Amino acid sequence: MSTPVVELQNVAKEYGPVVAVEDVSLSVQKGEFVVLLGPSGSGKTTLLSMLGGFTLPTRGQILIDGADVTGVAPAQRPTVTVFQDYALFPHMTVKDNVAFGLAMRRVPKPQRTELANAALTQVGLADFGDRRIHEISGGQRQRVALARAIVIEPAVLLLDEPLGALDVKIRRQMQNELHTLQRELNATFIHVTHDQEEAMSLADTIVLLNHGRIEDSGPPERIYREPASVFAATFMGDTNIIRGTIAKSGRGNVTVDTALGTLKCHGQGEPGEAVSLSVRPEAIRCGAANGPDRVKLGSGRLSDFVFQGTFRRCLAATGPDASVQLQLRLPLDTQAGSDAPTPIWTRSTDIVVLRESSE
Amino acid sequence: MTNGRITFPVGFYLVVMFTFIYLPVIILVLFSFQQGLLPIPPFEGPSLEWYTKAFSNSRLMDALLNSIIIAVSSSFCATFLGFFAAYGIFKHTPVGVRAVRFVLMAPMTVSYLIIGLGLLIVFNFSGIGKSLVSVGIAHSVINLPICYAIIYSQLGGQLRNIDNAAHDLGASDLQTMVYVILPTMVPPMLAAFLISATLSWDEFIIAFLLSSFDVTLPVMIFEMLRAGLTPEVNAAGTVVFAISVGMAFLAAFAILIRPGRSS
Repeated sequence: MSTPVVELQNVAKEYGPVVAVEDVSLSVQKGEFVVLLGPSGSGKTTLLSMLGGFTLPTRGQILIDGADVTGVAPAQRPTVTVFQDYALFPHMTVKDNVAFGLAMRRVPKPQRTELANAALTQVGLADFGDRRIHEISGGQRQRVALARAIVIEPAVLLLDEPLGALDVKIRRQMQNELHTLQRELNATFIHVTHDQEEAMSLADTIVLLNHGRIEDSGPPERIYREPASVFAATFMGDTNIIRGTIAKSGRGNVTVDTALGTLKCHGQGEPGEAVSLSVRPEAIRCGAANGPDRVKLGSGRLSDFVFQGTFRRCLAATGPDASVQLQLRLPLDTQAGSDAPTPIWTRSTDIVVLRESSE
Repeated sequence: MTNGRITFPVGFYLVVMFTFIYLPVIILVLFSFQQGLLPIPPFEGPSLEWYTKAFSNSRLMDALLNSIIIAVSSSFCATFLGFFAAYGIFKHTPVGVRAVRFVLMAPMTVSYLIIGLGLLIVFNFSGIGKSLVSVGIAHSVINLPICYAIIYSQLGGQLRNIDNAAHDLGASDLQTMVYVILPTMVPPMLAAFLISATLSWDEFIIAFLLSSFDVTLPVMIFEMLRAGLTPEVNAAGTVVFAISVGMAFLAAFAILIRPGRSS
C-alpha cells in the first residue's frame, strides 16, 4: 500500500467537559470512498469539520498527503467541503458559483469558464450555468455544490450529509451519481451520514463511530456480516441479540449456553466468558433443522406478521416459556395463522459471537 | 371577528384610534394648502402659494440640502460601521462578546438629549465645535446600534456555512467579505440605511444642540415657528413628512427582500 492521503493520529476534540471526538486514528488511501457513519452525537460531523479545517482538534495530528495540516486554515488545505445546506452563494449564477474557487486561484477567465462548464456537464447541469440559485431545485443545488467542489480538484472531497435534505428517490439517484463521479475522478471522498443503507451503497470503507470513538471500520460487507461489537451489529441493520456464557471453546469454535439452549458457533472466547450472539433476521429459517451446520433455536409461535414488500417480517416467541422474542424475515409465500409452534433454526456460520470486552 | 367581519365596537375603536394618530398630520398637510395668512380654520380653498414661497426661501432650501447630506452621509457611516461590528462579532465571537454587544447597543437606551449634551461637551473640548459635521457624527453615533441590530439579525446559520464555503474555496478574509458576504447582505444593509436615514432626517434635539449657522430642516422649521405661525411652516413640514414616509416604505420593502429568499 502507498502512503495514505489522509492520516488522523489520536485526534480528539473536547468542548469544555463534553467530549465530541475521543482519540480517533484513521488512515485513508488515495481514491478510497470512506463513509463516516454513526448516530447523531457520535462525533462524525466534528471529525469532518476537523478534516476541513473549520474546527481545531484539542489533541492529535491530521496529515494530508504526508504534510501536517492540523492548524492550517481551510483555504490552504487540499480539501473542499460540500456542506449539508450546500452553502451556495445566493447572489451569483450557477456558473459563477462553480467558478468561484478558480477565480480565487487566479485562473484566467476563459479557462475558468471552460472548467466550470466541464464540471457542470460532469454533474449533469450543462445547460444551467446562467440560472440563479433560487431558480433551481434542491437536487440541482446539490449538484452545483458538488461541481463547485470538484472543479478545483481537491486531494480530498469532504461531504457533510449532502443527501440529507433530499427525498428518497432523488437520494438514491444521487448516491449512484456520487459513486460514479468518485470512480470517474478517482478522487478520495470522505462522506458523513447517519443512514447505514446509504453508507453501504457508497463506501469502500465504513468507519462506524459511537460516542466519539471508532466502533468498527472496514468494508460494508464485513461490518454487516461480522460486526465487531453489539453496537456495530445493531446499528448496521436489524439483528437479534442473544446473551449467553461460553461453555466450551476450541479451534475457532465455541459452545455458548443461552436461554435457547447450548448453541454451537464460530468464534473466540474463554470458557465462562459472557458473550452476546448476533443473528440477522434473514438468517433465521423455519422448519426442521437437518444438517450438520444447522443450529436449533427452539420452536415458537409466529406472530405480528408485517408485509414489507420483499419479505414478511414476523416475531417468533421461543425459549423457555416463550420468553425470547426473535425477529424473522420470511419469504412472502409464508402464511400467517398456525398457532402450533414452528421449529426455527439458523446456520452456525450466521451467528456472530460478540465478546463483551469489545463493546 | 371569526369570519373576518369587523363588528361595530371594533370598527368604532379603529376609527377613533386612527383619527387620534393621523388627525394632527392631516391638519398639518391640509393647512399647508391654505389660501391666507394663518394655518387655522376655516380652510380657505386650496392653493400652492405657500409651497412656492417655501421652495423659494433660500434658507429653508439650504436647510433641506443640509438635512439630505447629513442623512445620507451619517447613514452610510452608520450602516457600514454597523455591518463591520455585526460581521466581526458573528465571525469571531471575541472574548467578552457580551460586553461588546452591550456597549454597541447602549446608545439606544440613552435619551437623545443626554447624547447631544455629551457630544456637545466633547466637541467643544476637543476643538471640533458646533457644525454640520458634528451633527453628522452624532447621527452616526445614534444610528449605529440600530444598523448593527438590523444587520446582525440577518446573519444566520446559513450565512456561516456560506462564509466557511468561501474560505474553503480559497478566498481570503477580505475576498470573502467583498465578493460573498457584502453582496448577500445588500437587502438588510439597504433597510438599515433607509431606517437610519429616516431617523436622521427627523432628528431635532441633537441637530439643534450641535449645529451653529448651518442648520438642518427640523431646526429651521423650529426657528420659523418661533418667528410665527404661517402655512409656510406647514408646507415645509409636509415635505419632511412625505420624504419620511417614502423612506419608511422603501425600508419595509428592502427588509422583505431576504438573501436566498426562496431556499
